[in-house]
Amino acid sequence: MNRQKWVSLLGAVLIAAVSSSFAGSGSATGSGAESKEKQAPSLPDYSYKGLDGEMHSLTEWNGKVVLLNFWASWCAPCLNEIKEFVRYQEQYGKQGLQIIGLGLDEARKLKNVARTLGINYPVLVAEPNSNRKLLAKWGNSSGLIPYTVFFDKSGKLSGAHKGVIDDQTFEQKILPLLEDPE
Amino acid sequence: MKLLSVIKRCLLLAAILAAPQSYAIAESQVLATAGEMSVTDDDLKSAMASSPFATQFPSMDREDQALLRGSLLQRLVASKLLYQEAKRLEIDKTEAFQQDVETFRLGLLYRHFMDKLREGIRVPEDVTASIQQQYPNDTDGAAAARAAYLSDRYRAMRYLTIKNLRNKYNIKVYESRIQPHQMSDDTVLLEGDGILITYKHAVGNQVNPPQNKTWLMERLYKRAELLVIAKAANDEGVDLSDRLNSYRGERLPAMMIEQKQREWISGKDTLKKHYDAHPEFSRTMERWHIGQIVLSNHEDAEAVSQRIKAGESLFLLAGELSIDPYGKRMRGDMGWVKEGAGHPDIEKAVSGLEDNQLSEIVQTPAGFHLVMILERSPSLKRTFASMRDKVAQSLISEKSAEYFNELSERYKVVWNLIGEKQAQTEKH
Repeated sequence: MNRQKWVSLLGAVLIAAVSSSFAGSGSATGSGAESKEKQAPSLPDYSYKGLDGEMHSLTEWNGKVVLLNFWASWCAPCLNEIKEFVRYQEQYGKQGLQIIGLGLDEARKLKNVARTLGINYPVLVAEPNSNRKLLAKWGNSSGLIPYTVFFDKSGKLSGAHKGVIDDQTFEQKILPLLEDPE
Repeated sequence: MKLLSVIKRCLLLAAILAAPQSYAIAESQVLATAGEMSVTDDDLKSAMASSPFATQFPSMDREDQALLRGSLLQRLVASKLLYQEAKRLEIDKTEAFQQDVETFRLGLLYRHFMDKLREGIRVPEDVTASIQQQYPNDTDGAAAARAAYLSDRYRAMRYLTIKNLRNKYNIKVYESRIQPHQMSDDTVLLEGDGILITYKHAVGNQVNPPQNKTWLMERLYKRAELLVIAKAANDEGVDLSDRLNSYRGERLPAMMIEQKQREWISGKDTLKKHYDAHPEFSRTMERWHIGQIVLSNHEDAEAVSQRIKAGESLFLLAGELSIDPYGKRMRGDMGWVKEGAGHPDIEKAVSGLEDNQLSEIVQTPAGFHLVMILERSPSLKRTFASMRDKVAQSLISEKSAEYFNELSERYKVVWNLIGEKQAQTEKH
């Protein structure tokens, strides 16, 4: 019971951290207008350049359960996690799951990883040299990756996870969001 | 030539395989066969996953991935060739190999038993509650206390387990026989049900073992612990066949090549002859600190040559007039160049020059050069003794290439180029 309480408390703290960061200065790399964040139901209007060279706002994926995954090509656990994400996207994409990779690395290396691991979801690229600040703004002050924040179908922040999302975590935290009609 | 052709084919195949998304190659496709053995796509993936490049590989460019996979595939094929050769020469029946496998088997059994013992230890609820009480709101402190508890319990359990097994297997230690200088290899120091340790076993591969009773007792007890635990795991019926087969598959080729390497470098004069036949081992190249200006035509070069000879600075002129962007930026200071590394015509022009003497005009595709040696670092003699390891490596590398060609002849190597056909189809 104590452990459960502790985990719940930690979850609440994380959500609070991410939420408060949203309410802060906005994304250095995005076009995030604070006023837009308050317009529900919507994902926060943060924009990043994709591996396709185009700018993409998270709002493009409104209505989906979004997993925004922070990773880098040099991070071995991230690469292992991505292999599972490819499987999740394949399996749950039709149910509304949308994984989005946010690469904290050179676009060339990210592209190579996307090709080699067959990433089947969009990969956005963070502005170089802003990784630490960016992660902090998304509620991860330690700067450790992999790190994933997730939103329900209404665009509401549902939680954040530091470290690799394993099957158990996915089942506990993400699957219920997919089952939720909204 | 044959080796080159093999490498090229390897790289071509690997290049195709570097794009698993583009060509839906079936799982476990056979990439190459060497005699009776084959290397599959899964083998290659598994080798890649356990290589030091596993993390870097996904972020590499396609060409680099192809090179790496090609090189790894070659190694796997070489390993299969060596394995078959080792079997043919019955290296797997030698005492050294059998002993090696047995040592590995004992280690596996020991680890299996101890891991199980450790995993079986639980932190009781009252201890957990006490730790939580002692470290409220301090997760790190609680985790450390928990780890310390588990470690203590493991130590106690280990001691108890060994004691019980010692009784179970009726272990007897002949301490009175442990007398320095009075033991032969066959002197039995410890025995029990299915366990026997002689002086030779206790000492192991130690060269000139110390004739010291304390040291020997320690070795004896360590060996005894290994054997009783391994026996206990073995009695439980632990199946290690897959891991042992995999170990044999890796160790046998390694022993084969180790044996060949010893043969190649064993002759008294073999290494010296190789050293003498390769002058690059015996001396370092001379290094020159070069000043240079490059002009676009002969006339300009002639004019600048006259100005320098009349006392103007090559460096000031290079900073102003050189058409070589790097040389201009560096004001003619080209840094240190190793003999043999520069353009042959320029090397020829400077070879007879004194320091600070301007060369004749040298024409290259880059323009018309005027060069001088500012200072030089002379070549050094390197003795055979100081280069022995490098000479051995070079000889081994030379002999290995020949040897693998020979093995490829003996055990036919076939590269499966289905991928190549697919690539052709894609092109059309």
